[in-house]
Amino acid sequence: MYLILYGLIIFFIIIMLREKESLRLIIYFAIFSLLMSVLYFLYYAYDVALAEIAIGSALLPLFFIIALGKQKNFVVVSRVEDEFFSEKEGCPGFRLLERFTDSFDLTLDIFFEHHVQIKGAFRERNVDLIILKSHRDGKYVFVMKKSSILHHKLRRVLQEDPRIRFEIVEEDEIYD
Amino acid sequence: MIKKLVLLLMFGFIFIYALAATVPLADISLETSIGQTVIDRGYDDTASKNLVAAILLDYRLFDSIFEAGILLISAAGVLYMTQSSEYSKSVPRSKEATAPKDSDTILAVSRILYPFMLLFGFYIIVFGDLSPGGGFQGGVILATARLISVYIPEKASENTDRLNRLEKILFLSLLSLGLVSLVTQGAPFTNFLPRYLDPEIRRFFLVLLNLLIGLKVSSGLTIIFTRFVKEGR
Repeated sequence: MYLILYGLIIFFIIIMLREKESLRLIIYFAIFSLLMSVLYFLYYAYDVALAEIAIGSALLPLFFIIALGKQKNFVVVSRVEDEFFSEKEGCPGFRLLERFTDSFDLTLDIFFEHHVQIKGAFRERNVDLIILKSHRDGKYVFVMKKSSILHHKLRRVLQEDPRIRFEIVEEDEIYD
Repeated sequence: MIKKLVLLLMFGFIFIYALAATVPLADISLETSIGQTVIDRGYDDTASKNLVAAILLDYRLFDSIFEAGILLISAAGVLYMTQSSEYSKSVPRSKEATAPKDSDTILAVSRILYPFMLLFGFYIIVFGDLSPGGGFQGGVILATARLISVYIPEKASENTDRLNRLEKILFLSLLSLGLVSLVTQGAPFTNFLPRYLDPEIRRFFLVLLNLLIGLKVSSGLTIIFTRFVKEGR
């Protein structure tokens, strides 16, 4: 009984260490706290178990989720620069993104690939969206990371546009 | 100025009293372990059936009160550090209305859960001296309930300044409640009701203390996360 519990706790610690996606990491943390509180309970420390369950698996994960949702900058790296998406104010792609960032109170940061060398300029993980142009069907491909919780929202806002196709990738696939 | 002076006098008095009350280590007899002593005498001394609460709220009440003070200070620190960002930015609220709504499931579940969490938090607080739990745990549950209510759009957000004032008042009343026993019993930070009374009546002190600590913890945590949610918006 105890051995299974110890094993589960160690298993979840290892999973937490290996997990890169923030939202899933928070959920593993909550499960870990739950298991720890079961351990306290089995050792007759009922008050500690109650405190652990209230803080570790309810309050802190909620805090972290709110922190994730409060992303302030929306970093876009564009590999295309044409009439659909450029630095000029009037172009349609730019306006679409601006409407999205305005509605969530984000600051829009756009980098064009040929101006900035991405890997040197900022860390890989900070990029929220990469814009590419597909050679096959001529659509603009919006590549987003799975870990960014904004991808559901951006998708909902921009879905009706026929020129755009979405691709959600895993964390480490983003630079291929 | 007067407020500061009163506070300074209060803390100075407590400090000197604590120094005077320290027992040299050599005087403590180790023939019976402290744990066994608490188990044997805990209920008669403190009228608390939960012996953890007996230690927290009677034997070591001094520590508990200043532990509660740490939360007050950290909440005040958060309040101070995020002060400027809220007043300088006057972002119109209408922007939120245009944003797509959060998931309906979360909204429905938090609406259902909210009253039950409040009830459970108060239960944990009030029954802190009978069953596991107490002021701190119940306070955290109350704070979590209010954190969940962030997802309920109709509910107005908390006024943090008022909450901070409430927290200060609660801390001061905790301190003075701990000091009442100096008058009635001759020793501070213990139950102010005399020993010969029935335990069911002396329990009143513990419930009152738990309630104060619970409300204080919940308002402190509510301040911290309300600022956290609002900050940078």
